[in-house]
Amino acid sequence: MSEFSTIDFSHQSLDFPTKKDEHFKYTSMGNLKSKGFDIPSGVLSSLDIEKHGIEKANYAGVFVFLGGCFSHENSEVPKQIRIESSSPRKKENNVFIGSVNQLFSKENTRIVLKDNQSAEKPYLILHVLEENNQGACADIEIKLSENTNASFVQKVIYGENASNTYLNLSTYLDVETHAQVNFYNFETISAEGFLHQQLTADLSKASKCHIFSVSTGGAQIRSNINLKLNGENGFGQINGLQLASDSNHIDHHTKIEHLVPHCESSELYKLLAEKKGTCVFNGKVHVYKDAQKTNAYQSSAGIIMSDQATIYAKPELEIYADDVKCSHGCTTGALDKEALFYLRSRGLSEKEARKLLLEGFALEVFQGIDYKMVLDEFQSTADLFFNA
Amino acid sequence: MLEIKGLEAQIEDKQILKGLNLKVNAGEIHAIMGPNGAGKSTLASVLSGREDYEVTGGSAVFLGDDLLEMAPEERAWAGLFLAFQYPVEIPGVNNTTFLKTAINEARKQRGEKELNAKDFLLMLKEKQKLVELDLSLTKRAVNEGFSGGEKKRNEIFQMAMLQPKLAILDETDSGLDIDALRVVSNGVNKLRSKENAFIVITHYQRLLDYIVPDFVHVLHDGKIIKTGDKTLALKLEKEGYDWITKQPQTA
Repeated sequence: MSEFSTIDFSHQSLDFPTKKDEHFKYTSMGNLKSKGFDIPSGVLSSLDIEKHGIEKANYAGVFVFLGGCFSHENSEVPKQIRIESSSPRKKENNVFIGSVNQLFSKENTRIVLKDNQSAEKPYLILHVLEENNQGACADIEIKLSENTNASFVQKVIYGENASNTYLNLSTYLDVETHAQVNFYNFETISAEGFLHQQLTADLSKASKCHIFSVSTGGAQIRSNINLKLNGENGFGQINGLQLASDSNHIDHHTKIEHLVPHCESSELYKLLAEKKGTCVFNGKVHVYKDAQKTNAYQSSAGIIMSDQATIYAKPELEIYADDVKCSHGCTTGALDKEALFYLRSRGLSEKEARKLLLEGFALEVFQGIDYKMVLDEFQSTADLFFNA
Repeated sequence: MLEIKGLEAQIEDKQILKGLNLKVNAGEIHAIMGPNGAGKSTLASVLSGREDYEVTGGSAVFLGDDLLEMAPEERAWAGLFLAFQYPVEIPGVNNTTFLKTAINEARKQRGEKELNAKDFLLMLKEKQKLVELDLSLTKRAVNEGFSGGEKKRNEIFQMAMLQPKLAILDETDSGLDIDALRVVSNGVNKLRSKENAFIVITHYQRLLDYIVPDFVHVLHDGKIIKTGDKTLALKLEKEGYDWITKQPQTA
């Protein structure tokens, strides 16, 4: 249990990665070194979440986290869900983001969905940072018991003056046999904000997990998303859209591990970098020796929209089984000039044509989302970027 | 409607058009034929405003305005349409959404009222029948996964929807089987009127059996070197281009 009231990056126990570390080659943690962020207490003072366009009625339940801790007062927990608090989990990989969470998170929150449950609407996990220079580390575990079917929207909202912020999320999805989970991850960050995230899903037999992300804004976003296919006939999906502008730095490192036979995984990333923005995608698929009859598909595509924008994309396949179907594709380039001319020759202004092309490119990531509300929100997040 | 005088254009320092003259009036169909590399597709590209080409001389006036000064979309708003030789596949962009945006953008520019959803749909159904384009294709992404014939039909369908004053068909017949050729030509014939004009670029006389031109021009080495009526196309089909291109040219 952390006693700290500040996330202090000069703390001696923190071991900062260097550029020599493969996983931090394109994303430096160095600019955090001198920083400190106040951890707010678990009481919401003035922020009205409805003002941030969040209507509680649209969700089956709302779980609000303040300073990384679960807020009973501000949350709406439906009967079928149990919340358990304990000390933070021991992080399995002692890497930087996990170490920060381990050191500064105050508690572990366990959201338990009992057997055979399914909800019509998604649940909302809401992280709030109200003031400038605030930071939080949350440690969350979601247990999806056998045959449950649930969807979670994860969002961050900021107070009016909260620009320089730090948020570290460690989320573990325990997906039991025949359970299904959708995780909609909205990484929309305050102007100078940092978001670090470790999202891990552990999939048992015949379970399904779909993770969709949109990432935009802030100083730095770094998310590690891991899927572990631990039971036969499991299905895992990770789709992500990165929208980097100004000096946004967005980095997703994903890892899909096929540990057993007869599982399928699918991954699609779209990266868009304009102005001085940077996108990083490192996607690893690891097929273990016993994981025969694996189907694993990965694809990433990037569009660079200015001379100063940067995209780093790296697919990694490690396959140790011999009877598998795996594919990966990775492209990066400029906007298709011929397509742009085609649309303009039909009477679309250059701006309109560009927007239509970028939208078409980007929104493929969100195909297959069942909830119209969620789909609309992903789309409007993207539109904010395209209309800027 | 369109008057081109002494048009010169190059791509990457290679001179392609070398003083081309052409006058097109409303109600006319002009066929442009010529051997490979003569500059046929360059002409279509320059007229529609493709950026890869640099105009180095001459003029093109369309309905009183300097065409060469206009952006591609401004040319479309003025009533120019190019049916692409190789229509572009645009994944993720819905055919119908794109057309609706295009039509309403042009209407807005011309100071007309935007089409509402119902009128648009009525028009879409009418024009889709005209070119026998499967309705399901209009709901898909632009040209994505379309066969060669479907792509060309989609070009004519878009033309029908946009109702241009001058349409340039750049080798629309290439890669078409006889049935598709008939359908595409029927579409053009139903759309022709006293108010509009067509420039039909083709390699083959066959298309001109269906779309009967008022004038046939032979383009060679960046210039129009011979102009005749539809019988010129028949003669070219029989005898090739040598008898024209090998003659000493008169200025």
